[in-house]
Amino acid sequence: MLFNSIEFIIFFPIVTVLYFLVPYKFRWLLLLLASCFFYAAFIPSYLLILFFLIIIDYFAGLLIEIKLNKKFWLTISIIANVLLLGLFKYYDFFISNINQITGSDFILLHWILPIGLSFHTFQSMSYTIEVYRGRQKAIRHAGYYALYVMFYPQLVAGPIERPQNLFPQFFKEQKFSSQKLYEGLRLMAWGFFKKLVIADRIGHFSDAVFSNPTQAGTLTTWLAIFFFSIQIYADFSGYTDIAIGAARCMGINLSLNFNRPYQSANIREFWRRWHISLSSWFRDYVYIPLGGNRKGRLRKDLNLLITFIVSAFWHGAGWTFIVWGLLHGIYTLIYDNIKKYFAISIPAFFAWLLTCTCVAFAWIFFRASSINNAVQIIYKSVDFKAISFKNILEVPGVNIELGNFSLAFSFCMIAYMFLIEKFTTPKMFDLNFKKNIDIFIFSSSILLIIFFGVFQKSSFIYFQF
Amino acid sequence: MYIRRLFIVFIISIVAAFAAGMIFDNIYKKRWQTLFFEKTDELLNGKTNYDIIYLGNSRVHFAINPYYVDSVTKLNSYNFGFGGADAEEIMLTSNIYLNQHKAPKLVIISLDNGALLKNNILQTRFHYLYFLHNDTIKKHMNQAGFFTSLIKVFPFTKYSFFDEYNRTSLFVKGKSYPLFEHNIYKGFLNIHQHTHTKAIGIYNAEEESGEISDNAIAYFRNCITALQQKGSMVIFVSPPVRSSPAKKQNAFDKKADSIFSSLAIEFHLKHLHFEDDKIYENEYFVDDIHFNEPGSRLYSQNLGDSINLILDSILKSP
Repeated sequence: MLFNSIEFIIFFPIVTVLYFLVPYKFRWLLLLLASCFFYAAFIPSYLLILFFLIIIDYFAGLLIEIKLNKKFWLTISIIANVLLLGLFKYYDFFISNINQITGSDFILLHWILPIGLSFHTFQSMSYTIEVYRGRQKAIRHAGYYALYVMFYPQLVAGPIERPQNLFPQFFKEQKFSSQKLYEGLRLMAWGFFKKLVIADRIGHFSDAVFSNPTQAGTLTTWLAIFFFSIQIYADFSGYTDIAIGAARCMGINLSLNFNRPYQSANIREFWRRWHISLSSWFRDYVYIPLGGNRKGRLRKDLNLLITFIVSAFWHGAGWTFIVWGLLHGIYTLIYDNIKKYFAISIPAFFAWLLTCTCVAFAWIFFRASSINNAVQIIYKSVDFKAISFKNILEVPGVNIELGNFSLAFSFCMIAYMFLIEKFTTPKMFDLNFKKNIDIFIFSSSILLIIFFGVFQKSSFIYFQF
Repeated sequence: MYIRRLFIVFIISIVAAFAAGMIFDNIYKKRWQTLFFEKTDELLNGKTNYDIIYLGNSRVHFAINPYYVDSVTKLNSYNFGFGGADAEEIMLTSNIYLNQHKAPKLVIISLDNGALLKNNILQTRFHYLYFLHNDTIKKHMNQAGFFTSLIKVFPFTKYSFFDEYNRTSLFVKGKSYPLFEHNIYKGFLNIHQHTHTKAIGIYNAEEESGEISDNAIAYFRNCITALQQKGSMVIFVSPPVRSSPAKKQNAFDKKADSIFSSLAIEFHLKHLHFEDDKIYENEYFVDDIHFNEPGSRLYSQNLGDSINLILDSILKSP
């Protein structure tokens, strides 16, 4: 079920009201059933994959805690998760590359990737790893464990939760709190505003340019790259806001996933602010186990590159993602070395501009359908002979034209979003103390969604991962 | 305290949405008055019972001028063509007319193969959302995917369904229509005083791979049956097209033509064929299928003559 669907508008209040009406000891069951229903709205049979994952990791957790061959059971759990991910997500990529290189003709599976598989496998793995490390007790109640993997607000696109954060909240009887309800709804409205008013509006244009780069002019390509950089933020952070808000209404606090990443003054800061739950997952379970920064400078740089490439691979099985990850790895290495060996101080504005430009450049690879497509976009963006302000809003090949009004309106909304986010905390709790501003932001979000939301049931970008 | 604040947010949002909705309603109606609202108002609220009504798409709307037809036939007619109308919208228009008015003597249905395509033009006919008090419109718009009950209670929610083009039209001043001759008259509209023939052949280009909709055929059947039951005489008209190299019949066109011929036989309808008429030279067209004002004048007069011949033959018949 998509958040931006009429089904969810009906589903959410029913589940939230029932959550507080049913006795505490049955709440896990209600949430679990609701989560199954939520997930089954995509492809019902894929629930079986989730159940398989849950059963494996549930028993792995129990067996690890017995301390009998705990490494073996952790390995089983990780192999099961990675194998599942590999089959659905990476098998076709590897085989098609092998076929291309060797001229062989191995059969491709063409399986549809279960929505959010990368998210719940990572969340599931973090449980068994934490149990292995002794930082989390194995959960005896299978229902609660299933709920940890399937909790509907963050089931398909995160935030990727740690067991230490979620289980204590499930086990605690959450009392109805009007404050939490209010805060949750406010954040949800803000998330919907970002998704429906900004991401889906400008995404239409950037999609058209990326799917047809040869037809676009230089400035049109710049606009498309800029729009995609905004789209992916508004889309993904919008989803996260809705997820955190929906859970907040039930008294459950999900982790912060975005902390105004486009305000970053350097690439390190960007990765501390962008998709925080994934970055910290890779830091804790990949980068540090590889040795982190404890085994010399060269090894540290290598670990960093490996982590970025694995992270890129997590996003998708494609060379474009790998280049995207590699670019970020290189950016970070350059930044670290410049910081260490040169005492250069760049004015804050230029540091910010440079960071945003580098990030936007890398997004080209993230968005492009192939390396060739990305190269075409880059070529178009530096084809200075083709700079013309005429027809900048037109993408002839796909017959799409962004009107002057839509362009002006999109820029206004983008500016509004960044302005509000500049002066509020990520979960907007600080607005509680600024009543009039709070009411204005909340009401304006609702009004903008009603009148300017693009209700075309478009999926969230990160669902594909 | 927070429940109170939530209540305030809700009230402010609702009141502001109602107010903004009323302003937008006003702007949108003015913006699309000539193209849509005027004739939909006439359909629903008009007091005149017309002798002839014309149904179809832009090839009626911009082509059949009641002024010239009426001057030939001495009857009173109205152009109920809507640009892009498919079979369902033609049936909807006809049904609404029959519910609100006395059945006309003659109903001219202008044929366009596009009306048989599997499209649902009502999904983009946002102006009908302003007329949901009419049960027929409400039912059709509901079938087209609009939450009509919600829109009836909270009229401002209609703007959530708008596409970008129509939403933008609320904020961008539309081009005003130049007035000359009788170019805006009883549902008819044509702004091309002179010839602006484009050299591109678009005729049938989009329909090459088209698929005939069974629903569309059923809509035509229902529409004709309802009209005939009320005593109206239905006439099919195949409108003129520009002589163009692009005017080649593909498989879809052949099938569509045969369906219209079968319907004409099934319901004993007169079928007027103007599509191969050589008097409509290139200078009368703005593209392969649409007339300029002089072209529409000529076509309307010829249509009037043909109607007269049909009416005469009926009067003379025993």
